[in-house]
Amino acid sequence: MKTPGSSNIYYGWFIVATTFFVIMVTMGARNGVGVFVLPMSEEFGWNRSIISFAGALGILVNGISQPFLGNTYDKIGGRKLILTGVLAIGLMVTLLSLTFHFLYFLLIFGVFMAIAMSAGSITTGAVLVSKWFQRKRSTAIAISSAGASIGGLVLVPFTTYLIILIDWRLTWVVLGLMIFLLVFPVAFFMLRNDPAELGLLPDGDLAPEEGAAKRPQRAAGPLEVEEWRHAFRSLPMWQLCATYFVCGFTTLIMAFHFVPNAVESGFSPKTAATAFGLLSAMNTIGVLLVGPLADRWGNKNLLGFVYAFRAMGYVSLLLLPGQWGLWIFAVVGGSSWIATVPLTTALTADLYGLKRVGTLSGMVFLSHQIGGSIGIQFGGIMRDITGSYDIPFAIAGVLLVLASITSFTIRERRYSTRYQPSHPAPAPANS
Amino acid sequence: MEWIKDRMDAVFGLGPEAMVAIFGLMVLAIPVAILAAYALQRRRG
Repeated sequence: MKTPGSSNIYYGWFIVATTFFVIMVTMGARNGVGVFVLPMSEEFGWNRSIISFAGALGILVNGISQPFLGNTYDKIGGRKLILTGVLAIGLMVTLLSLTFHFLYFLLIFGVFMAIAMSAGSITTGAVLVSKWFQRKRSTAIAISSAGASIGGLVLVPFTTYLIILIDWRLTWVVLGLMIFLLVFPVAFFMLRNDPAELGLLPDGDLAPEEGAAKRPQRAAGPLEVEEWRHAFRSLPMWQLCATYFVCGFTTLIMAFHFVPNAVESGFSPKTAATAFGLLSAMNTIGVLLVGPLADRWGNKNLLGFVYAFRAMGYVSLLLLPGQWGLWIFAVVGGSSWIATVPLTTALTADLYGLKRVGTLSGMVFLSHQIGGSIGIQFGGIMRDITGSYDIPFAIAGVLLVLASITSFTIRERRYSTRYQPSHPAPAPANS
Repeated sequence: MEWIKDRMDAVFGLGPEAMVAIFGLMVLAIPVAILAAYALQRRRG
């Protein structure tokens, strides 16, 4: 019986496609909660701040649980964890159809679903993909992560129309069934922990000699760790956490305050919503562009450029007159939105190796979510105190400049696995 | 996200049933394509 490794397309690309689909549907179902706000608010008499609280709690729980589930990933492997996570997400989505009280919604959406997302969605998906690639790692993670933005573009309108056709309760059930009947089977059938499981080498390289495929050799970097704690003894780990903190701060502050700021600046709600829609659509283009560029020019340089680019978006929003600032921010800010995900995950794997990459990516993601929570609260508080968003947005711009400088100073060539001289010259792939 | 629905209505002018079918097929096409590509590869050897 032929193994998947004998096919023309390297099996890692099937892993990329499968994680793309997992991320697309799970993130799409979760982010589609915005569509449910109106019908659920009408039925239960909830106000927006109550639902926002559930969303904010979900962000924090998602961040706090990620290192623990990352640690579980490192112990039991990605396949088991992602499959369990997908089942749990499907169950939570289905249970949302039975919502009868706000506390029930808070518990299911804000706590259990957030934990399930830490197990079976974008971070663990990116970590799994990182195990299958070395030279093309950023490209592969970028394609996989693009599922997050495509999920919003496809699942959100799908959900919107479905609520019009049937009620919101049945729509949750349909989304749950979609996860159980489409996502879980394809993930169960296709996901594998790493290339060695199929006797393959990362990137689809051919084994240099007979029998070597059973034990793939990989160049070790000077910072590779056996225990995740040891990573915090080196500067790059702190640099990654600090820059991802800024990423969370500067994206989630906008996710919550972009439209209110635009409306208060004199734009119609429709213009503001359209600009935010453009921003969301630009995610896909940005994330797909950075992957191949990073594999060619290095992750930290692209990461520094992405943060600088986003800073320019904030400067445009604050300084340019009329609609220019709004639209330029939508394009510039939007294209940098998810672009940091593949760069940061790939850099973490490249610098610290694959043994503890689940836990380490979880720690870095935790700093992202803490930054996001602070950004959301800080934006709201400063708006109430000063009457505008100018100060929090200016601070976001300054933080981005610092994040850009910090990224450029990461010593990737010295520490990254992909630049180690002991890395064996790879033979061409059989495709 | 109401803007997406407004734009879709303006561009396609289709009813909710047709739009649900279109988006549903888009979602369904991905796992089908993955499994079909894999099956084809295995058959070709």
